[in-house]
Amino acid sequence: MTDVWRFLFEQRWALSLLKGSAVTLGLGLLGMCLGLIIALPLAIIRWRKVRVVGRLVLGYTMVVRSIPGLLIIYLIFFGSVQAVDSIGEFFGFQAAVRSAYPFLMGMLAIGIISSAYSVEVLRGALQTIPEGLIEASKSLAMPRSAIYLRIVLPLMLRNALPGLNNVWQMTIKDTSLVSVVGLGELMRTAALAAGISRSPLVFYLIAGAVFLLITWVSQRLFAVCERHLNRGFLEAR
Amino acid sequence: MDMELVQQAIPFLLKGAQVTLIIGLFGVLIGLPLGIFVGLVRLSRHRQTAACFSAFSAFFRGTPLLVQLFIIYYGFGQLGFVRNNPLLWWVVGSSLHCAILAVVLNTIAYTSEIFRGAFQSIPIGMVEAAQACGMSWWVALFRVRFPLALRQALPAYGNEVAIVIKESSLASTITVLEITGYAKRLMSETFAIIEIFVIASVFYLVINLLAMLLVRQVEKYLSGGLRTGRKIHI
Amino acid sequence: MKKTLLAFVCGTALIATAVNAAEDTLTVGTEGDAPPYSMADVNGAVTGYDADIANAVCSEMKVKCRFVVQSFSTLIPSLNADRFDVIVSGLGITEARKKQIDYSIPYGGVPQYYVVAKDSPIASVGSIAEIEKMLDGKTIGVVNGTTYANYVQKHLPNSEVKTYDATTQMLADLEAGRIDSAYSDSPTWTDFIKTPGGARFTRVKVAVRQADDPTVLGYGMGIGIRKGNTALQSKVDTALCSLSKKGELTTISKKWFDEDYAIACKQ
Repeated sequence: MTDVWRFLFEQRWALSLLKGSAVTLGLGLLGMCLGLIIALPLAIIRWRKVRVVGRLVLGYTMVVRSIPGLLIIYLIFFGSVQAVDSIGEFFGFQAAVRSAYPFLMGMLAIGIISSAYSVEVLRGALQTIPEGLIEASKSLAMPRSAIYLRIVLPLMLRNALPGLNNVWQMTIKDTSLVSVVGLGELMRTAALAAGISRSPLVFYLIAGAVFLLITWVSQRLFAVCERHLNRGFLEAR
Repeated sequence: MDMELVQQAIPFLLKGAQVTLIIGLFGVLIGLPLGIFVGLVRLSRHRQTAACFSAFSAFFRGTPLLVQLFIIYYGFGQLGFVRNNPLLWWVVGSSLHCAILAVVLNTIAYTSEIFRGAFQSIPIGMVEAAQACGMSWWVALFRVRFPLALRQALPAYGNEVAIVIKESSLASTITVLEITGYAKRLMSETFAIIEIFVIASVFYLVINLLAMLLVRQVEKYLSGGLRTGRKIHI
Repeated sequence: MKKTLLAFVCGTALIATAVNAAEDTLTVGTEGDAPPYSMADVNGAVTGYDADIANAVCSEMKVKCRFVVQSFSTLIPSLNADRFDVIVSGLGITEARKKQIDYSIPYGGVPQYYVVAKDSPIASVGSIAEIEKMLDGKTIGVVNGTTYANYVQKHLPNSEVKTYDATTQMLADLEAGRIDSAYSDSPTWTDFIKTPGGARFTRVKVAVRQADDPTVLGYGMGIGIRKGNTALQSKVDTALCSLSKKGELTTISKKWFDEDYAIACKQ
């Protein structure tokens, strides 16, 4: 036990575990945001029942949700994804793209996975919006953009929050999968430390505890948000 | 697509599919009954027992399966008393057994959550009516509460089955050769990433599709008299 | 929200120009998880045999080395995705890999061994054919994507081959007793047998050398270079050749392995 203690603090592995946790959190947050950015237009397409495209979106979510995340990550990391480089070249910061390559790839993988789940959550939330509200705003001659920004999206957000909470819990846990291809997030750091110190139990338990902490704190935050968005509705129910 | 390569890969992936199915079957056959049981215990009046099982469920739902797998496989494998105890070593010593154990514990945690919600959603009047008819606790459980809860829980449980199949892919990180394990090996030997990915994905899609169809059939059967326009979220 | 996004984009662009300014760097992909070849520490610095080779080549080329640490099986795809310039990670030169990437001249070739428990009857057997006959049907560990994995799969067709993502994971399983034997190179075992957990093990008496099965095991370790990057290839070759003539390759090999595994430059 003293060995582990020395390893953690004298060799400063505690610090790198902390760094790894930060990477995990950043990866989860950015992946979730990317997922939402992809999911919102797709959810609106599904909601408005756009012909053909709506079917394609349904196919996309079905396929991504049936394939293991690990397989998607292998595809993105092993497959020579030159797309990222060419995007970087276009904007003129290829070097930055290269140095952040595993992080960007990880973010892309996590974003794709979480987007498939977010589409369904957002679509469900959109469907609960009464058509009458939209008709009413149309009859007030509100422009389309205003209807979406001021009526549809706020109502959607309130209804989607519990579902998004679930997606977030899943996303933050999925970030651990990126460790298998060597991005230095929490799980990878724990695995390196476990290998070098030869005491895997302690380090994987630490990793588990950090994940528990992250999920617990974010549950609390979601509860606060939910209460905030539902103020004024509670009495009506 | 390189047809020769596809032909070379499919027998391996078929072998992997068997292992994926084994893990999935254990997940459902052990996970479902124990999950229902844990869900019931979490609702029981024994506060401490309920709290214990809630903590169990919270731990397994709050940490990634990968962490759980590594704790069981590499973490427990390091301990001397586990290695010297034949029964424990039978579980921890084999990577497949470890994978099954982790998947089962994980799915118990989620299933218990699904069924806890389902049991809670039963109108209290139904249970009271059952008691008024003179049913004992057990009879009321088997004839009233459980059938109602099952019908309520099935759509969510269908999703859980698909998740178990998907999560079984993590077994590949502890050297179990299931679909993903073979896919990874083939990818790093042949470098035909896209081809292997597509074939492996088709395997998962087919397995998941069959599992979902099965759950839907059960659902249809159970809601025989009640088929209104209820939406099913899958 | 828009402002934060803008700030973020600007920030990234700034970092980008900062990185661009340091032009004379060679980015090196390595495993970081395979003592004594390549060991990444807390701050991302890499030490070990491969790190020394890379640094020597860099100083010969008058550039700075920057290491990128990734698991072994992702190195070749990442090189092709332009993630780094070269791979220095004990990468064996094989025909299969030559279809994917180009190589420098070989800089070293290490013998490989099976490792077994000290009290195993296999420990005292004196021929490879005999050892492999005894091991066939047992459980053998190798690292995924290595030439060793291919070698074991070819030579022990009836055994259960377990493939790991990292060398350290394989060693942990060997210690735990989940595998009967493992196959890797001499430096890995020298290092492992010195550790408390490895004391129960010994490598078998006879080594497997590249020449025993060059189609699978290759022609020694080389530096991996993206296909078609001939300018870099010739620069690296020149650097390795001059290091070899100065005897530095031998020095580095002796520093980490106590033995000379350097392959002399033939130019």
